Amino acid sequence: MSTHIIDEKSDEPVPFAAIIFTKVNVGTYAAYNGITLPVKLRKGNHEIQVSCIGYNTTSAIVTLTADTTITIKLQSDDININEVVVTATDNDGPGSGSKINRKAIEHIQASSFADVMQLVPGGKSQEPDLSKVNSISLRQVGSDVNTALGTAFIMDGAPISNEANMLAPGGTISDLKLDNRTNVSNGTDMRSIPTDQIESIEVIQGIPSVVHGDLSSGAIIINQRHGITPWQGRIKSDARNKLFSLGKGIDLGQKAGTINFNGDYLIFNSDPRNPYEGYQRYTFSSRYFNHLQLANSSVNIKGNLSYTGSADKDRNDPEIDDQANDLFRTNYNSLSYTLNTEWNFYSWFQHVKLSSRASYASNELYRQKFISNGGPMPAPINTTAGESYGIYLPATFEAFYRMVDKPLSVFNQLSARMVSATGAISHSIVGGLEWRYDRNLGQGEIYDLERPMYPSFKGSYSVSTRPRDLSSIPSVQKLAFFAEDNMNASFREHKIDAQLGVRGTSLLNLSDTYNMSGKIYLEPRLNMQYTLPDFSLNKRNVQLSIHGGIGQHYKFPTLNQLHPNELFFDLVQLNYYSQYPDLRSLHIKTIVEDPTNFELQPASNLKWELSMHLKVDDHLFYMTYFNERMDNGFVTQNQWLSQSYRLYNTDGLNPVAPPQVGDLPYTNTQIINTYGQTHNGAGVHKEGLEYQMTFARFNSINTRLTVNGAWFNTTYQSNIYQVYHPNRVINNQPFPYVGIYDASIGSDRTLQQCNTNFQFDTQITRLGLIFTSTIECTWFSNSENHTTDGWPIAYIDVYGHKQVFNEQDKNDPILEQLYLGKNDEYFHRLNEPFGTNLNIRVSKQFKKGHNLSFYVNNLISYYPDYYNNYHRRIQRINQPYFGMELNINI
Amino acid sequence: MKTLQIIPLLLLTVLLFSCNDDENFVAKTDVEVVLHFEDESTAIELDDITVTFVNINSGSEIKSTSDTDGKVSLVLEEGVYSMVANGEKTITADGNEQTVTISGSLENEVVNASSSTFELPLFYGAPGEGWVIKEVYYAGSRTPENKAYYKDQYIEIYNNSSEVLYADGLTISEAEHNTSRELNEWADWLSQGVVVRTIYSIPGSGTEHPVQPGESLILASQPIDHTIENANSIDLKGAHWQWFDEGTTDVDVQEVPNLTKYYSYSKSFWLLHTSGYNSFILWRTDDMEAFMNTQRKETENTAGNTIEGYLVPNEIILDAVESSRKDKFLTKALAPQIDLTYTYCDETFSKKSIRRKVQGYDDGRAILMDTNNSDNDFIKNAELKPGEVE
Repeated sequence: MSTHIIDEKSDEPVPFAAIIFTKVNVGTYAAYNGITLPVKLRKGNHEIQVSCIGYNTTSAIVTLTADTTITIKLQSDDININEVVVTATDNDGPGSGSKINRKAIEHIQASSFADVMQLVPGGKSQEPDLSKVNSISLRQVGSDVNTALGTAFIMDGAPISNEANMLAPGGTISDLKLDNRTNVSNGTDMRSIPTDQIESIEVIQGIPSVVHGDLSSGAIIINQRHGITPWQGRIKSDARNKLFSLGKGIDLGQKAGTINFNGDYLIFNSDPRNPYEGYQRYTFSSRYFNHLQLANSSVNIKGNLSYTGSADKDRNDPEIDDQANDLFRTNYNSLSYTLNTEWNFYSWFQHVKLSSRASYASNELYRQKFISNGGPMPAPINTTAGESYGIYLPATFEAFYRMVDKPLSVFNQLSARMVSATGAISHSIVGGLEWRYDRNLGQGEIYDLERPMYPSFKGSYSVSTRPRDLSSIPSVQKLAFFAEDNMNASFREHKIDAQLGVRGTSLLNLSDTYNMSGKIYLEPRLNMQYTLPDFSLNKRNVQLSIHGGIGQHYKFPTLNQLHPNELFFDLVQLNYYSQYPDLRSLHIKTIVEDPTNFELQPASNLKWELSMHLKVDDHLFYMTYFNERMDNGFVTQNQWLSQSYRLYNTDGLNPVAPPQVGDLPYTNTQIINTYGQTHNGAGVHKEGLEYQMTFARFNSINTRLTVNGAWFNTTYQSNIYQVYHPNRVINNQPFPYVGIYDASIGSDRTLQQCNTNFQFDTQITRLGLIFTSTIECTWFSNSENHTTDGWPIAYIDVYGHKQVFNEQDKNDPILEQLYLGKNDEYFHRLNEPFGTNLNIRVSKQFKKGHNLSFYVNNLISYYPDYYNNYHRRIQRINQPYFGMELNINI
Repeated sequence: MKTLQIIPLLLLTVLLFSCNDDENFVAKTDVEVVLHFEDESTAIELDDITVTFVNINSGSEIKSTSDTDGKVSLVLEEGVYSMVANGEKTITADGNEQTVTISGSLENEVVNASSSTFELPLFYGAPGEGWVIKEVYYAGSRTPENKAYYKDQYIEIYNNSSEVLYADGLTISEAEHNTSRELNEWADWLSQGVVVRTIYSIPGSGTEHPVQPGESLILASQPIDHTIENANSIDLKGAHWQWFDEGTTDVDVQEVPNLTKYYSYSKSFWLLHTSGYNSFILWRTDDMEAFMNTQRKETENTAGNTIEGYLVPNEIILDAVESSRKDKFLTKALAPQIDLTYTYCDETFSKKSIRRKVQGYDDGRAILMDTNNSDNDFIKNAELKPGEVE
């Protein structure tokens, strides 16, 4: 069968429309002339879905008996005939997920991807805060770094990589205003993803296909728009955001395809009164599409070239004169390309596909500051281990600091798909190879050790770093293969869909000292769906299907986790600061420790889920129970280090020149110190129920009710022992013991939350009016800290000897200080009572697709005060937040 | 000749007898004594203070009590008197009560018709009992570039007695509780003592470091000439002791000996809170080792976290000053009998200190006001006067 796609009004062919045969999951494109190549299909009923930018998506059911060409007329989306879906809908595939289309994103008036997540079950509208990194949370109460790191964002067929980001200066981050930008080993920052050109999003909370790897929590699949459009502009404004975007899709003519251009500019001010701080993003992307029809095959080419930048020149208020010369500047420029080439054969060998992506960013930070140390202090300047004389820093000086971070990442995936159909069973088998490459080409930190920007950061006995050239760090490379069978079987009216796949990943370019070196990590994943025959109940047509899945997921460590910077311990052996500058002498012993954990393993997450989908007439209902367990997520664990140094005695010395250590008596001093190292030990256990009910539209009032929500039960805990060194000095020595505890003191906790959103959307298509009101209810949420007795199980003395912590040690005046107990109230469950709020959104479409919309969040809200465990009254204030936007097509 | 020599003797005898005879006829004078505090800002009522008049010649004693104007009026025989004022007053501040002793004296005052009105200066307590904290400079200063500078902090202690005192073992501490916080987690211990977060002592066996009456010791963070580093700061080369912290944040000034560091909550540098939120106590124990082994206390704060410190019993506290910010003070760290109120500097890095007032002089030796009521005893936002009294 082949298809001919034409414009309803003009009868002109519509180029590059996408045609999907939904039942068999086969898709193709129409050529420039609106005609598709013939597709081999079995005789019988087939549902066709045709979509094209600028047109309303059309479905049709055709009955095939012989080779045929059908003609489908598409209707321009200037004219509103169909209602639009402004909610997330259930994923079609066997794995559980939510699909969000362009109209829904437009309707929530998103500034960045972070806003989209409110549509997912369990999500809630939130006041946008783009002043800090927006990390994703999935299926959980609260958030954690392993979920954020373990969620893959796949844009146009290739993952966005944040693996090689190293912008983590060893100084005071708050001074560098880096809350904005430091996103090392923390996943994708959702702020950086603009939403204007997104055609569809699929949020896979469940078990993703093995085609997607290096993830532990879920996958977000984003497809951007391709096709011919007029100039489209958007202006959005709310209390903190201003967003401008402009784009156009150009027809390059026959055989040449289409190209889309889009640029946007976003400015966010967390405090409108302070123009000197904020977040700015500007993006530019151009996307190319072509569908070339050859004799018996066709080639689809989809590519994009994107630029994202920000050049915050955060200044201090010049009216505060003491900071007049201080300067802070960052320049972030990122360039990426994605190219997907798919060669379709319309035979059992369906297609070969090559997806590649490369991105390169230059992230530069410059700081100039007049430093005051409050008085003179020593400056450790050794860059290698050993003993040497140091210098004293003056109390004030001008300091200059630069950090250059240049992450480069490359992704290539080659895959092939074969189909076979024998009798009632059909298979669609995909297999492929993937290579990922991440490294950093930056120079790292650049500053004068004798005039450091953050001298006081290098506290007594504590740890610091030295500049290192990031380009000297070896690349992280991952080679993976995957194979997956998508099987459909029908027995009478019973239907079984199964997706069974396995993925194997191995790290390359890793020295043998790493435990992971040479190992292949296998991720088997299975999704199954059983669909019952349609049946009638109370004269209603009922469709029921049950889905179950189980899968293993691995997230590999990032560049910074595999190759952390060396740590420096500077121990002052002679601190001879005379009132006469000519006599001063400083002598320092430097101990260098490599904090690399060669035993590091990828973080693994085992998921299973069960769900039920029910369709009663036009009412849709689904519910998913899920259970995810990660026991070895990445976490920083303290390590101890026994250190010895000499303390030179200058009593009675009356020198005429700076004293040299060789002449001086000394006492050997032994101390114990700690430093952080990345380990596998964060436990994240997620359990819950997600549900959505989509009722048929009440035609009399043009209103549809969608109810969605979730119950989440999330446990965060540490599965490795904890090390704690009290930060105090007793008898002129740093605390002489380090305690070892078998539980994470006070931070292991279980959180629960149950919420439901009721969304009423009223659509008067004749007037182009969409009005939605959403009532967000949080029925309850609570948190409970896991009890611990607070006593260590063992302790380490200054010589590094480990001893069991006995009952009588609890009475030792020093050892008893290792107690980290909490009061009883701390372990009581804290309940937050019911709270609810109403959000409204209105959008009105004018002729030619001009659109004016506005929204108010928390128009009405009810969040009663409650008392915390310490009998303090907690007020929850949800202030109304509103904004509006204008969309124009020229 | 002998007879002639006897005449004056006889005359003298007669005269003496005459005096004795005249006893019942000695001239009397209406005397008025006006009580006042040397520091006029003192807001204590002057009534009900007893003044004892002792006739130096006869040794006779007369007592009288002041009226609401602080005046004592009575009739005295002419003669030479000493006058001693004594009283007890209960002062209330923020609901806290404290009883203070008031005293004052005049010596060898001639009372006769031409000299019948006296002004009697009053002191709180017994004047000059011992060690006092003379000055605490915690605020820090600003460099010419207007940057914060704080390693010029110092604490000055003063021998307020009339005897030589030994500084050996004197210990200076900062209270653990922050007076700008809503809740003092150590409130249950308040009647027993003060929980501190730093312990630095003057070393010595007991008689190594004598300090003369009216002399002081300056304990400095860094005893150097700070004007070299910061033209707006001060010269502390003459400080007597340094609190030095091992490590990479402090410099050990060689010309000045170090205090013995027994305890610090911080691994780095003991920075006096630049808002003065952690009050100061001066104390001494005979057995520091026993103190360190027995006096550690811990409790939980409202976040459920353990906080700790060492409890210094009120009995061994020699002097204390509650400090805070005027607009931020919420809870006391010290028991009212240690310090009834609090004192303050208005701004951090203002190069101002809190300094004890001089309430009088004894033979040129300044006696500092110590009524255990810092609002009254201290000059707020005082100019720095290390080593000087005024």
